[in-house]
Amino acid sequence: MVLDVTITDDTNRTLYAKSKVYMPQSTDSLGNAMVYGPTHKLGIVRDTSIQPFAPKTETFEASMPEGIGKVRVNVDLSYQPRPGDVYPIHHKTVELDLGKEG
Amino acid sequence: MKREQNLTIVGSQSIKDRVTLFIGAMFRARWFTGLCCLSFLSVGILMNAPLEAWDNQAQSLNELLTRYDTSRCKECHEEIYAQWEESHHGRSIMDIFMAGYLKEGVLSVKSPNEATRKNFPCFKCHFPQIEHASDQVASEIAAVILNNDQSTMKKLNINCLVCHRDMGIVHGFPKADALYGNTDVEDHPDDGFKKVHKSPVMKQSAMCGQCHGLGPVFDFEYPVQCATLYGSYLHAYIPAGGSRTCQECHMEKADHTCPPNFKDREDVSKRLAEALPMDVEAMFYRPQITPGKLVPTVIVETKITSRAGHRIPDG
Repeated sequence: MVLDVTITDDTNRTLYAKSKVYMPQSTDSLGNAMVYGPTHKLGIVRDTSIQPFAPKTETFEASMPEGIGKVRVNVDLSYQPRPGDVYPIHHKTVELDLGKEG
Repeated sequence: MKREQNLTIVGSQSIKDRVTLFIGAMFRARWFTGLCCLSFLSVGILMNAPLEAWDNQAQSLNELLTRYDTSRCKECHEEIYAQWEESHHGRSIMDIFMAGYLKEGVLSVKSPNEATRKNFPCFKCHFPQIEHASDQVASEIAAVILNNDQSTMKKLNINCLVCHRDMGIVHGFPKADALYGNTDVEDHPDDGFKKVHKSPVMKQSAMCGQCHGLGPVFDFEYPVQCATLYGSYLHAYIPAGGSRTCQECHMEKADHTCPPNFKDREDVSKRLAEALPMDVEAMFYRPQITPGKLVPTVIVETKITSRAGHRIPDG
């Protein structure tokens, strides 16, 4: 599960991009390297997956260059079982005007 | 020497003490203890053994597939059968990259002839019928997979008999001529399975938990770890106050497609969106953390809530 946050200006230039990955992570219990595949995995050592009844909250603080006008904040949540295999889940957009005072 | 000492002591005891000492001496004799253990074990096996010859090991893949042929089920259960055919259960070894495991890694073989049941730990859940098959069958299956024989692979699946017979009862073994379901059927119109017994476990999450994973599976020479959903359900969802069963979400109205169907990408996205509502808030301001230095900053807050009964993602 991948949460992507990007902020672009009105020319579609990317001003900020950050991703969070939510997934159980396993080693083979022979060392400390994370592994993939059922014949390698043996024991979850860290689990950032989304748990029942446990909301996952994130705060992204993006410093912007001076002189920027309107920006578009894009937030995408997707399921990506393998690289390039993307199931879109949510796409939300918020527009902000950085040039507007008050 | 010890025996002589014991006999001497016995000579000065009451009958009750003598009997006690005699029994103690018998148990100290290894042959007697072994005999007792063997007797208890034999009784245990006889009491719990499945009654049918149906479960003798199949010696060929064709024999195994014939034994587990469920094509006749659709004559009466057409809709459910059609749903099942569309489900992941209906193609349970098609999407697990088994060919890759047979070609490389701890499960690999140089030729299909080398393959035995040990090469298929995944089949504990993906094709549990292998339990009733010989190593010859395992070798045939390896050939099917390595030759990418899709039509035969499609027949290696989790079908009606796996859930409604082999796994349909967990307290004891299934009976030879019976199936298991949510209601009793006295005269089930089938030549082989003449009765359907009500099996309460079929409505319980434990039914699904038989395959959908507690965590690592240590049963094999090389352990495997695939689904851990049932473990998550037991140890995260239930402690947090969850009360729904697997079937309530994944078999609503007895839907045997058991969604999600990862081939139906649009539906998977829709289900995930329903299971994981997301809120987004964004604001702009100019914080002055360092006095005199204003930094234009966008703050984005996200909140993802889970309505699911297990971790997402799993695996």
